[in-house]
Amino acid sequence: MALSNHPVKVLVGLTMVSVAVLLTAPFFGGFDLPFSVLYGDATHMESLVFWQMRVPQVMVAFLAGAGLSVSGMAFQAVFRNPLATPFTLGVASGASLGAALYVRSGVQLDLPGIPGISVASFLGAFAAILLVYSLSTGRRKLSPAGMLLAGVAISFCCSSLLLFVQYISRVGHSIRIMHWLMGGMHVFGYADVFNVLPFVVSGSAVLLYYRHELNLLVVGDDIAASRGVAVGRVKLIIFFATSFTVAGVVAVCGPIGFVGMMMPHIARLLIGADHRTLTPASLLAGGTFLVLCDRLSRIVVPPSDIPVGVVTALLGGPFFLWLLIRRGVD
Amino acid sequence: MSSPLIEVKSLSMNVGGSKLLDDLSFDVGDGESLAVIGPNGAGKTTLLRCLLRIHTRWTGHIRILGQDLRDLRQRQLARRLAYVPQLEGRHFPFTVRQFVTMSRYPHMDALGGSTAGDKEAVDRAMALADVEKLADGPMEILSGGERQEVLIAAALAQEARILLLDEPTAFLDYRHSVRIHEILATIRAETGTTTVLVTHDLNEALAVATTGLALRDGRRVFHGPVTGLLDPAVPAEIFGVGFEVIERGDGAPALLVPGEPT
Repeated sequence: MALSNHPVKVLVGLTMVSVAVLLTAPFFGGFDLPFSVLYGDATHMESLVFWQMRVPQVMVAFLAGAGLSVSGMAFQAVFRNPLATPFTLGVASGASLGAALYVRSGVQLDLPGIPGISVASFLGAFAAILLVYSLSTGRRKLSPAGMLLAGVAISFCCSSLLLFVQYISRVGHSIRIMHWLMGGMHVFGYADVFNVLPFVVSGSAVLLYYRHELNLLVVGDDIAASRGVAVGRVKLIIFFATSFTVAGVVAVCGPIGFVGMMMPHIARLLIGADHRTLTPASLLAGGTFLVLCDRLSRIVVPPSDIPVGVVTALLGGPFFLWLLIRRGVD
Repeated sequence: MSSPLIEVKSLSMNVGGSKLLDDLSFDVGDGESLAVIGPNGAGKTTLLRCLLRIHTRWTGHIRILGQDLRDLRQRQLARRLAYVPQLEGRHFPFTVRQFVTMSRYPHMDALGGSTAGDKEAVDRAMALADVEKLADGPMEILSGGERQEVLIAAALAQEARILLLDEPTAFLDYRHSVRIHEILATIRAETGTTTVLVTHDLNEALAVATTGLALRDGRRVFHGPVTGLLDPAVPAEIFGVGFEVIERGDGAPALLVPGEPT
């Protein structure tokens, strides 16, 4: 595809689109806000909605989309499989189960700067990916297809355990779990922004740092090792970073499907497979996409919000198919 | 005589009760061209994977350029040892130049920037393997033969003193196999690179190697000048099949033609 011959131009274009979307998105929602909220010419209510709801919602959506997308990108590279995502590998459901168990326990144990639910999510996510990975490297090696099946099985197990946890929870906890499971950005104020931010920023920084290693892992573990990549160690660090990112997102927004699978593919179709440019492109594309989906989910049937996952699938699916067909014709 | 580049002593590897490598010892000297020969499942690829430290659960000693393999970091190893893998079932979503440039990984600094030296090494490697005309095209559209040449170029860009090749002509037709052999001869003549080539083809070993190491069931059954393979008893022991030697004259190496099972 012609576009991917100019990765830097594509990246500049993506950045401009992202900035434009981020700047305009807070004005749209269940009702439109006038631009005057910026220079104090608005009612107190409008100003409150803009600064305490819309802006943090957009920020959380961008961070969540970017984090899920870049995690999917890393999984697809390490497992060399287009279907490897935080969901198919059981990482997202592991994170969900960890979070649900935390809510069920009723414990409130926050580390400085890191909420307890995120830590519980991370433990669930990392356990799930380690289980899948150890199955793939153990004595009886699993093929990539077998590994995905294992991931799907783990995912189902976690989901069932999650339902079980919800079932045996008290009503208050149960509703909290269910509400959270439906996914979405029910954000007020900036606490959630700062709950997601460190996870996505640090996880993405690690993946950006390992861009060369990701490129080499795509062409095979043996080639990567022969070029000097300490394959076992690097994979473990990448799993750690992705689990961290996914957990941070899932703990706040619930499991949001589709972004982690499709957005890295779309970024790859636009910019090519070189992770030096693909990593920032995946971040930007995923973030921008989820901001748009989140806005749409609030605009379509006001005043109620439809689950953002419905929008992500309905929008992304056809677009992805269109890109695939277009590339096929080229 | 300089010390050997590769020293293997009492190398053994067991997986699930079966011996993939069994008390294997040999040296590879500077500038040597070694062919590792044997039937399928003899342990040839396992040996390469031990040298590359893809396998780590072996016993014995391996020294690369005089240093214990277990003491080397993976990047240090990659500056000494380059590798041309088997072709089958891979996906290369890169252009030829991108892929060859990725081989400069072991020479990168912590920030991963590339230098003018990297570009020179990449250009030199692509010239040696004669793939410059393919440089800007995607690897996905290359033929098997072209792709193998690119894999060789990529290994050369690593600028290691030792080049390991795993059945580089196994999936290629005669013309492309001959081209690969020519490229290997050019590389040795121009860079003095030491090569270790895994093959099950005796005539390939005779065409490209100076020394032969034959494995059967993980054990060494022959090690010496490659012409030693022309004693029909030797290939018969390696493969369990009788061989006939066809002399060609004019300095061309003799050919081995398989016959009846022994």
